[in-house]
Amino acid sequence: MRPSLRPFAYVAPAILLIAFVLYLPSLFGIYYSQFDLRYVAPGRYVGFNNYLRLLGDPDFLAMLVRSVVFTAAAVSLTVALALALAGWVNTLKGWFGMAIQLLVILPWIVSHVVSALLFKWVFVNDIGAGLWLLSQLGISVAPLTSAASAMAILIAYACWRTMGFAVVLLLAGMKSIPEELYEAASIDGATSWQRFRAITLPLLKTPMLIVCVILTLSNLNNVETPLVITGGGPAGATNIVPLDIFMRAFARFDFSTAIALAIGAFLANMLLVISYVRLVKWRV
Amino acid sequence: MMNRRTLAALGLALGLAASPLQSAWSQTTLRMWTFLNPGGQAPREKALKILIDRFEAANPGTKVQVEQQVWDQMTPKFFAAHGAGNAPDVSWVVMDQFPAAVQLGALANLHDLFIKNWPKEQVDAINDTYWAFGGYGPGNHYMIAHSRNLLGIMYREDFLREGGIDPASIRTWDDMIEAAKKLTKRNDKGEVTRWGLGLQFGADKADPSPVLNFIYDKYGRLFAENCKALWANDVGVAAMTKIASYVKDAKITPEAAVNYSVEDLYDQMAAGRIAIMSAASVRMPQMQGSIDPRNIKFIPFPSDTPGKPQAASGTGWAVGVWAKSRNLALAGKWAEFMSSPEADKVWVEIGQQVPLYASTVAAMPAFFAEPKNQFLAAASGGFKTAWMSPKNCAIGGIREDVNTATQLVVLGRKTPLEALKEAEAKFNQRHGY
Repeated sequence: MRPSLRPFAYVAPAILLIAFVLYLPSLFGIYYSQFDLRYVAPGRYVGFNNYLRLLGDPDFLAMLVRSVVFTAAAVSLTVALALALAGWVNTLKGWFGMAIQLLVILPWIVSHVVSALLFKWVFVNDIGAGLWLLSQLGISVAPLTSAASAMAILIAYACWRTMGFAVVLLLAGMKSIPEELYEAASIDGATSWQRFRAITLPLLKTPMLIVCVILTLSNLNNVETPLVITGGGPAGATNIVPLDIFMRAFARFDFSTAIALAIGAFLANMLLVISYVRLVKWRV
Repeated sequence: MMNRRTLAALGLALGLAASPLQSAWSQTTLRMWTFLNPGGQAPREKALKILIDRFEAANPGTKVQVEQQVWDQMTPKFFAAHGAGNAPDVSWVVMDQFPAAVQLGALANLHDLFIKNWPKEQVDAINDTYWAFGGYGPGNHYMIAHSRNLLGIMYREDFLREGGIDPASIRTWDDMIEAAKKLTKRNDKGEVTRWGLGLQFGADKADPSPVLNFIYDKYGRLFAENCKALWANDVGVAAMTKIASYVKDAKITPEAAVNYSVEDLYDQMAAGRIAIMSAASVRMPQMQGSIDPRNIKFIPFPSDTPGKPQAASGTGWAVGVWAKSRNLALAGKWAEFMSSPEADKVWVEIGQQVPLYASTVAAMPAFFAEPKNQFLAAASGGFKTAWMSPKNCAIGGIREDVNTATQLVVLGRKTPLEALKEAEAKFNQRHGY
């Protein structure tokens, strides 16, 4: 084999596999999205009618806004908390630091459905320990009966689950910052806040952006969380893009608009992936 | 060089090795999709395991391979698999979607496969509402209805006894609401520790709404001739107002019901947090595993007309053979075996299911007289007034549409009429009615 072709041969199996399991179904999806899909069976050709029907859905815009609010809130809150936690863990030494890292990363490595069910049973369900403890303190709440509190629960769960991943990545970034920079700043009389603002934050820009993009992708594609915890309710208040695709397809059997929405989500994901690839190459 | 003895030994070894291989090659595997796990411990699962073992023993070289599915996603997945050409040989299809399965041409005609050979007595013994639902004119029959299920009332007899309520006195919805008020229990702080009436309005894993029962009971239909939904009318508004009032005014149903799935409701019942609930008869064996069987009972929904149960949704699972199965005859044989009078006794005795055949009831009087099995007779009685999906209309999403409308009313976001109009419009638009 010619040396110039060798790299292509090495990556060919992976590319073929990805093309088979991801791009081929997506191409099929784009093709079938132009047909009237009655119970998954392609009917007459309708062009872009499925997309127009989706855009004409009175709930569509609200669902998109809700998805953006959920994702933006979950990602920004997670990154902010993870930054503080990573900063603290970075100062810890020995087994205690290790134990804290393990505790924080646990929700990330547990299956989505299992962790969502645990969260629901403990903190959301009125037969769970969380609400029972609150009731002992004289606070009686039913968190899934109002739109705002249901969304807050969803955001809280997303933060809890993804925090560990963000902490690990930011901690790795912090550990790669040369100690000499902090020493020099201390000699110059910089306070802890000034050291954080002038050294830590700028040098963590790349890992932070990568965390933001990955968490955005994770939250935008996570159907298990809203499905298990809120079921999209009350009255659609926590119905976000991935759940909407699922409910359209598997609860309301409206595969025509489900596939149109899935293709839209696929394109949004592609944009995020492109930005991720560019960020990875970015040097501070 | 090999001598004769070595050759003979080699030949014997190859022969021995080949025989299981050959038997494996000649084995036919029938794939079946159901929500039951034959390795599980639920009564229906044990019954299925017995039937599979018996069928495999009677048909050497045949293996029934169950591919267990999530119940609420199994039917659309079957439709998708039918379109893709890789559906299982036998599938359980939720009754709501059975007409759609026939319209898609996904199910084989069971009349041609085996029903044409049944003696008249067998057809007479199985001929009921469910049987009629599977037929499309003479010589066309596409399913046998298993796991027949009536939506009705499940209640905790010990709670009723404690509240001094005689279950026999619950003959109308008003009686039931009065009982639920007495059964709703509060602690010293005024917090509810037990709800009188459990309902679920979540859009995920939903049962047919009681609102639909009220409409059908009073109006006699839920859809027009052209399949358009007929819910936003006086009867629908009255039903929706009544159901919402149980949360808002009577406070016998938790507001959290707006997010409950059916599973949440059963969990609450098992935890002793609910005294009476809207429930499926088919879940009784499972609940008898969580609660003392003497304390959990099932009756059809009371109506507003004393002495007659309210029309309730009759559901179940349409067991059919995939029309494009490569093992059509064998798949038909398995579907027939699962639905035979002998299998019916296993489904009833082990699985605690409502019998398919009237002859099964006649053959097992002692079994049906047992207190823990009385719910089977109650469900069978309710089927006489049950409503089913119209056979000419696809009605996918009806449960979610009506439950979402109920959420909007309970949360005060829409009036009953507005919510029902919106539900109707969404349903009609989605189906092109």
